[in-house]
Amino acid sequence: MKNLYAPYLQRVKAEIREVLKVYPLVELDSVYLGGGTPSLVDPALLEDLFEEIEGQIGIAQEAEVTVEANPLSVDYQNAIKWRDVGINRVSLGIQGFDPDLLAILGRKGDSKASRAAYENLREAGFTNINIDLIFGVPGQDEVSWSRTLERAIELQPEHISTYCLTYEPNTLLYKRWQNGEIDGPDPDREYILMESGARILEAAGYKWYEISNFAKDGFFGRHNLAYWDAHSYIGVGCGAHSCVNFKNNNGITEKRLRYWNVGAVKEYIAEADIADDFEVLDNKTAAAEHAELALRTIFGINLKKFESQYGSSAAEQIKDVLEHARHLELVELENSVQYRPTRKGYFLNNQIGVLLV
Amino acid sequence: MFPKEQIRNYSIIAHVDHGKSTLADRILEFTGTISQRDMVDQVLDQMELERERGITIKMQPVRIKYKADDGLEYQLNLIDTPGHVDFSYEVSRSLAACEGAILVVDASQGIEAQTLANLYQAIEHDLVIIPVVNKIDLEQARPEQVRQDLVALLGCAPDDVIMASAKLGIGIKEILEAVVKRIPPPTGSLEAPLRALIFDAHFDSYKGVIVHLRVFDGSIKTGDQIQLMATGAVHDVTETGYFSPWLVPTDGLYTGEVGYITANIREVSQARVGDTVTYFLNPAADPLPGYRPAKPMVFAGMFPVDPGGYEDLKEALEKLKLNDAALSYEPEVSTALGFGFRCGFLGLLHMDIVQERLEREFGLNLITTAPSVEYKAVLRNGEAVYFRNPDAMPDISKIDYIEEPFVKATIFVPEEYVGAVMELCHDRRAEFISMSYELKERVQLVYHLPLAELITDFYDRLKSLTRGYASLDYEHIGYKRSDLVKVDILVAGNKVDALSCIIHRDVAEARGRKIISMLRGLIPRQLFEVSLQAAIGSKIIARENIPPLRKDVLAKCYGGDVTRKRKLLEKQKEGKKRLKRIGNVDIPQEAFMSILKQT
Repeated sequence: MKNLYAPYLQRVKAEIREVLKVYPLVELDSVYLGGGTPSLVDPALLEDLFEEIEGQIGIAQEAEVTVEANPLSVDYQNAIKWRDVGINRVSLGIQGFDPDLLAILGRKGDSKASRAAYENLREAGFTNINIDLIFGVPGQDEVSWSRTLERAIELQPEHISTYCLTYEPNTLLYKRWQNGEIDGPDPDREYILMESGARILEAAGYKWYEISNFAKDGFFGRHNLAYWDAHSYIGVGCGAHSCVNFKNNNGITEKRLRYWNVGAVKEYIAEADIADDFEVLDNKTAAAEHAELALRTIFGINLKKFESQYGSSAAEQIKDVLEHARHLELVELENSVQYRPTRKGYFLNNQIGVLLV
Repeated sequence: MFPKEQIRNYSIIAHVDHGKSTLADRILEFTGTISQRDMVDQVLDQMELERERGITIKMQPVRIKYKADDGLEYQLNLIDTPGHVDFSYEVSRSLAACEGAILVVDASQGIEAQTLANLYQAIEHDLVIIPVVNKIDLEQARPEQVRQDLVALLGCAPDDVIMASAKLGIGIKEILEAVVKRIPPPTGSLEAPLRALIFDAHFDSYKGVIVHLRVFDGSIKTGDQIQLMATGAVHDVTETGYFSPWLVPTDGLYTGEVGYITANIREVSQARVGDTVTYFLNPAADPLPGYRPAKPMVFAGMFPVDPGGYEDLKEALEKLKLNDAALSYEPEVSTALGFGFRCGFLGLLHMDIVQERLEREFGLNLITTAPSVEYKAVLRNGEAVYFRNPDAMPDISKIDYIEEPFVKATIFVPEEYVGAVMELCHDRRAEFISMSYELKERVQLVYHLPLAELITDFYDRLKSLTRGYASLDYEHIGYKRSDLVKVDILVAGNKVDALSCIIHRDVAEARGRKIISMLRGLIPRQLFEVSLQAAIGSKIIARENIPPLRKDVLAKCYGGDVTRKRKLLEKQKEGKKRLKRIGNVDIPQEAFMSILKQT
């Protein structure tokens, strides 16, 4: 695989140039290197990539530039190099500190490596770190989960993401579940863990600003908030998704284009046409989608702003649905214009979603 | 006109799979009625369904010409009988058209339940029995043992029993000679007014209804004006002929002969099995004995899965009925399943066949509710009300008592399983009548039990308890009083009509619990707690709660997840349309189907 890193990034640079021909981007607000595991890539190649981005587009002074990292590939040298390149935020995929649970998840590494990775980042000067944690692992009870959270809080990262374990078909986890080796998903147990997790993190000063994301004030994940506020963004690389809003002269979003690239690395590198598929959403669908995403966060929907973005007809429709959701105690209304999800709405977000589509 | 003395009318009777059809095929081959080239295994089977299942329902009659050892040419009319207990009436009318019967017994299986059932019917009709031990070629065959059994059973001489292997063509000639020598020619008078027995009828898309007849007195020719005595209907005969097995028109059918007529009859139900055909202008004084209108015993609801399929189902049933006089149906509405039909069948096999034909031949996607029977409610004012649908049960305050149809079940089972079978019967509310050792190592048990108990999985349970060695035959013996109650199912306090059932009080609680338990697994959790209750009248006999949904959320929703999530939600919304709203609760269609099929 390593020998594909360089050609891959060459292709990514080429894609950027192609994209710019269609969408003349200027000055990026946020950049996110996800994956895959970008931390495995030689920092020199990343330097090359950022040079291209700076040269072709430009990155704002205050931009958030994030890289996802696996704790096993965060040594001090790499961390320094990332800082040099302009990366100012790292998302560390620790997942957990309990070796037994990590084993079930099939993760190598241990709490020592995780701690070391974290320290390396701090020493290299990173002041914006996120830690990913997983709950709902078979065998994980409330006590175990609270211990994991405590260890994460001890490190005092600016941001913590907690994800409920999912069993995707064709994964080892899924197969082991089907074979009866491990327990499967249990919404009631997951509820308890999700609830206690939120309690612990909030008590420790982290704001629960999105269903799975907690952060100290000033450190909400800017890139992800763009997703949930249905901003336009461009994704480059293997399997990358992009979203482009088309507005009319009055600022109303008439259409939203979502497109994504092919997922196989070799295909991506080799092909001239790397588009996989796309969809075009009309005004109403785009509006409903935006509402659905926004209600994953504490910011929710401001009806007036929504109207200016999608028009009064779409806003009316959304309002009807939100009133129904309010009746079901899934959202609450503030000052007659601001809808926010309730706690119950956080836990039962899909139920809001079904009403909206 | 063929000499009456050289006519032989006979049937072949056997337990299922003992080789009746193969034997019939070999006889046709041997006598040159069908050339080798035209021979398709078991050619008398007309319908693909039966061919696949290996069981025979309706075979065409066949007229065979056979030159016997005595040098004379004989007209042998082979009339087939349906092999399954569901069709015992049809069997009896086919036998009534014969003077003799070949009794076929599988050398490896020995005498089984329907061997005897059919035999008793044949004896009731005073038929001469020719015993044949078949499949003597099988490794596990014990022909001598079976011969002994037959001698003991029939009181015949050992030499009277013919050893055969239809598969290998052994014993065929001996059988034919026996037919000629032992079965008497038909009686009856050519001069007397026409009396012909309808023993079968089928629908042909070109010719209309083809009526299968045995002429007892007189003759019948094209152009005759006939009357069907049971219905009084009058028709003009448009064609007469015989079966070879294909239709061969001829000038007429005479006393003692077997053949067919067509008479512009539109539906088979108009040509009733067992009815007598006579002349309109010079009718016979009395009809032939034994006529009985077809009576459905088992009922089931049939509903199209997709409500738009109702018309297709209606059309398909109409077409099926053209060829199935025993099938009955009437429109029915179910709160859960929408518009459909309540169909009546002779038995479970009949029901199975109809269902399969609807699905296969007509490509329908159906929900069939569990088979049920017709109950009789005797009201306090003395009135009797029959009902099949629990919904149609009269108000409980008006009812004095309820009756249900009972059957006499005859079970044959090896000694070692007697205990298990008796326990099964006891569980099914059966009343023990008798036990006897009819044959070496085969015990005969006779029970009276409710038909409702029989038509659920009684036969399957019997087979699995006895490792397949048990055999079952049953006959209807009328209505008896039972302590029956109606169990209602309530979801979130609302009664779900479609799930009500009529059941014996003793098992009501267990059944109620089972349905509730099934529902609990099938109804998705709602945003509030849902109570599930089973009740008899106002008394709750079982209850469970479905806890409210507390977590239903997608953990990660980033750039690449948005589209997929939205599509999932859209699908979920579509799915909601297939939910039946009862009160505030959404119940999936599949829940109704699963429960209605099982209970």
